[in-house]
Amino acid sequence: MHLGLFSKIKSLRADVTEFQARQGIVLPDVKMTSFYSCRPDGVAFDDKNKHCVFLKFTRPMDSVTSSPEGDWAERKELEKNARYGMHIYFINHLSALHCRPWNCAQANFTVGARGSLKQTQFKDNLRLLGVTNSKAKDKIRALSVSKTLALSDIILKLLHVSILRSPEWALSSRPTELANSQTCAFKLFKKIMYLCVYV
Amino acid sequence: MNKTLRTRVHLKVSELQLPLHKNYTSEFLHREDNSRDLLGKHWQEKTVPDRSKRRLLQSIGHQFPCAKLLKLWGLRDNYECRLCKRLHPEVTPWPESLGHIQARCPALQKPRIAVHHGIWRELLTAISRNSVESHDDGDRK
Repeated sequence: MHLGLFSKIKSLRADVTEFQARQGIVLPDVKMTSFYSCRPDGVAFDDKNKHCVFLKFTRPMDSVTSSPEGDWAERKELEKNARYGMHIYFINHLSALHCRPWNCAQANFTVGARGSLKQTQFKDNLRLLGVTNSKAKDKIRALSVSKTLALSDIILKLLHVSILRSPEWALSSRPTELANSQTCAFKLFKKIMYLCVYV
Repeated sequence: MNKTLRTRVHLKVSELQLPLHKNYTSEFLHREDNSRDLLGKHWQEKTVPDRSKRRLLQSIGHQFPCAKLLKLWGLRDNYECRLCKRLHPEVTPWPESLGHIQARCPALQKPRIAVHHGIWRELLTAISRNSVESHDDGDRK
């Protein structure tokens, strides 16, 4: 809608069907709906340069150094690119078809569970999103790593709490509340202990 | 020996020792372009509690006491994930490794999603605060 490539969901559906027919793909209705209801973590629009970027954040385990698909980050990014590749191709195709200037791309932000972050690629992605100041880039990089380390630690805490207390505890909404709350770790730890003892 | 001097000597010795070792931990610490400098900064952060630092060190050193490691040390009979086993007894449980806990354990899916959203929210806020995207009206926001 934002790109002005279609006016109604009906016309989008027709475009998707036509696009997939051209690609030699025939999908049932359910899969067709899942094609255009796909949700990346965010979408950024550059109105001036008519650039649209799919944003995807992942926090995989950073143990694999080398495999046929690459290291831990490359493997995950390959997976994410495959998931949204067709959508990006579709938007670019539709844009060209309707003589619109929009160009679509994807930016993957991948931070390992133990704080690994490919700084060159991360900075390139930030530049793509309009963060040009190098100090700001470093600040964002540091923030991402520290936040990831703090929240990855919460998962380990929750594992202990769930094992000591009850595995069902992990399925309740409390862990989500804890992870969503401020990560001032000492307070959080106190809160977890309170829940373990009194709830 | 002076405390500061002793710390410096320890740091220098560790730095010299690191290339001599060839194991998973040294390989992890040696990876280039992986923001290893920030690990050190996080470690020095005074607001980070010691327990968190200990768990981080255990994670990096492949010493986190998960069932797989406890089995290796002879402290457990099996390496099956304790949460998966209790919550899904009908399915063969996965080995409880750090990777399983952090990225795959179905029992910890909810907190994992919350953690994902928590990091992403912060990252997105920081990007939008620092982005200087120019708009049609000439504004730079």
